[in-house]
Amino acid sequence: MEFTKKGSGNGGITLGIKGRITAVEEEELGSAVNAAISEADNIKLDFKDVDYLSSAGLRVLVSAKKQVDAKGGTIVILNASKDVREVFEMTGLSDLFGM
Amino acid sequence: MKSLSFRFFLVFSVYIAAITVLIGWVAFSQSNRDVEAAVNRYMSYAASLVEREKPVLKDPDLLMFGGTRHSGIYRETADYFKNVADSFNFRYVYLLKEEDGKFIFVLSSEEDSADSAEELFPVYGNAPAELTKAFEKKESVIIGRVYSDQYGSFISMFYPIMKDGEVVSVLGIDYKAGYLRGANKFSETMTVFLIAMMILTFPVSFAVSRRMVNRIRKLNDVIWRISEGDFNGKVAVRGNDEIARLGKSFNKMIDNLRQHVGNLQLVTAEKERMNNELSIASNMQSDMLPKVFPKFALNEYVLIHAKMKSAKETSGDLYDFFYLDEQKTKIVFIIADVSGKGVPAALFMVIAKMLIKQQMLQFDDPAQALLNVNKILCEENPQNMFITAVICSLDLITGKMTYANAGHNAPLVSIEGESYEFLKLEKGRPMGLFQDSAYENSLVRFKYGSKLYLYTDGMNEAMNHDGKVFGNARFLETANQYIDLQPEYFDDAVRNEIFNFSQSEIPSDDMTSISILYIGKPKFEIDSFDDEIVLKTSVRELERLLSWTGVFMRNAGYGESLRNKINISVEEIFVNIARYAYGGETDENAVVRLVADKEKFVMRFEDGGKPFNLLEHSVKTGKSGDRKVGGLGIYITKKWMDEITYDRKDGKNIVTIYKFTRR
Repeated sequence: MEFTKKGSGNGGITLGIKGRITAVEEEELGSAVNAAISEADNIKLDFKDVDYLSSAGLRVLVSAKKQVDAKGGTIVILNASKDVREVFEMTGLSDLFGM
Repeated sequence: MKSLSFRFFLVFSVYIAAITVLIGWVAFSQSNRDVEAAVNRYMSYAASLVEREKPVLKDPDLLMFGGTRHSGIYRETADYFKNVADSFNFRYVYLLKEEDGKFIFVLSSEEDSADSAEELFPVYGNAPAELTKAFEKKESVIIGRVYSDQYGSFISMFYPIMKDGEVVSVLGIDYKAGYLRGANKFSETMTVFLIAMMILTFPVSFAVSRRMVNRIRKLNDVIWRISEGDFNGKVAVRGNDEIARLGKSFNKMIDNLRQHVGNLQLVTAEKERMNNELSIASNMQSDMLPKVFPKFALNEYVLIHAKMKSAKETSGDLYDFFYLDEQKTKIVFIIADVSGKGVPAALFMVIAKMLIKQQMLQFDDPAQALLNVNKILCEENPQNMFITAVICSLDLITGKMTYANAGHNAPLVSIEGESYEFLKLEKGRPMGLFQDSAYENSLVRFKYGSKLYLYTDGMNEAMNHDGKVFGNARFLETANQYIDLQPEYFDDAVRNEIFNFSQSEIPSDDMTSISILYIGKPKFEIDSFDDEIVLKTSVRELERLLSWTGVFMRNAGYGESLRNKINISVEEIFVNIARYAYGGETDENAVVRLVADKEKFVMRFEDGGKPFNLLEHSVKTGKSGDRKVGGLGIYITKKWMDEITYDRKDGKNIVTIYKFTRR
């Protein structure tokens, strides 16, 4: 998986994610998102290059959402593909991430 | 806002003040006229007295004889004038005579007013009009105006002295207008009186208006209490004026209101009771419909989900399904819609349900069942109610489905795993109308993965607030959009789309549906798999599993979206086994086998870990972000796969996932 970080601190961070998100990448995604959260309150995750997301990815994102909420910040997912969006919608999580 | 009492007060005050001023003005001008008349008479009397006492006035030239004022008669007359002035309280008494168009001053009550006999009355051309008038008209004239000069105020009279029908001289009298001071005093008194009157008016009118408004205010208090729901209040009525009459009407209204509210409470209680009974009826009615749906079990041939949402407490819709034999090889589905809604429709529906079931159990022939039920319903149907229905009888072993229609809308069917389309129906009249209605059976053959969606017109003809209808085209399109979902989720999704369209919690018509997925027994007797792979029960093996799966799926020609769904499901199952079957990740072996072809994808996982049925570890979704996320994977898998089975055999957990791929 590859990550590209844009912005910093108060202006919020946009984290671009590239690759599949399976149970294998759970930890890697978790630490990248956590690093972003410790740096900024408002996080945008660009899913343009994510074509696969399983429940492992959902767990990371739900836990990130709870952290950000506790800080009073926001976390939003951008450019999710149809398949990825379907996973969020089916589990009823899409509204949590402004999708 | 000006209060009523202030307005009363204002109107009273202005009114009383106006009356007072009017009375004052009338009295003042009357008394003025009286005084003037008295003065006139007084002066006239004095003048006539002077004329009578001094005949010499008729001969003024005699007084002026010799042009001097020293004659005896002149002095005597002047003295007399002085006496008259003193005793009558005149300021000035004098005599004028006319000569050559001028008035000449002859003598006066004041001795030393003039010495010269030549002194002329200074004015004639501009003498007072009254003087000229007295002279010409030969009558006494009083000057209506009061003159004021440095000697004070006075009023003048000219009195002509006549001799042989001619005016020979004019007697002038200036009366000290002392009475004027009296009149002034009168008007001052009057003014003070008026002001006092007005000042007095204020508290009186204030008190009066207060008193009147207070009664209205009391009335208002009672009204307020009534509006608060206290009907014990009563307006105290005194007298028989408008306010009292208003109070009486009000008391009458309170009585009526109290009665109405009493009635209303009774009616409400009655309605409550009826509602309760209706809700019991509604429960009874829905209890009659089957609620246990076969799903997720190896020994079932079909997955069924059914739902009825009523527009009223009771519904005129009906769904039913039941097996015809103990071996569960034949099943019947029924969907029906009674004309009308509410209790009558519900009763009719219950009768129809019983009759159809009995007929189907007896004959297993949909057309025959419709024919017989129609006849029975026609015999006793005074209200001319009717019922539309589709009856399907499905042989689960062969996939052969016989069905017949009584005026119902066409169900949706997806037979060869193709898109949904409307099921072809023979024409047939609704039941309950005509004794001679005829019905015909049709036949369709299901293959595994075939789908059937029976529904009532509350679904496809759902209306939104603008009166627009959801419509068949949209209904078919929606069904195809969610064709991949299992019966329960498919039905939810379709209903959700209809709700999004209609935006109405309570449907305009009953919404009833049965969603059926035909699995068919033979398909699951998979005797051989295409390939197998042995993996360590660790997430590290996931990549290998997914790429192995991917190769077979691509060879079978699956689209990207389908591959994604299967991949995610495979991952969720494997990760669950890796994490839980051995109580944590280990290097034990798991065997995975698969079949992937145009019709189906089947994958079987075997592991030697402790018994673990992952099907029991899923969660329901909710709208809250606070959910347990642990079961999400299995939840997703259950939704996307057509079936998941769990078995424990020879000390092994065996999980199999199935997906019909023929689309």
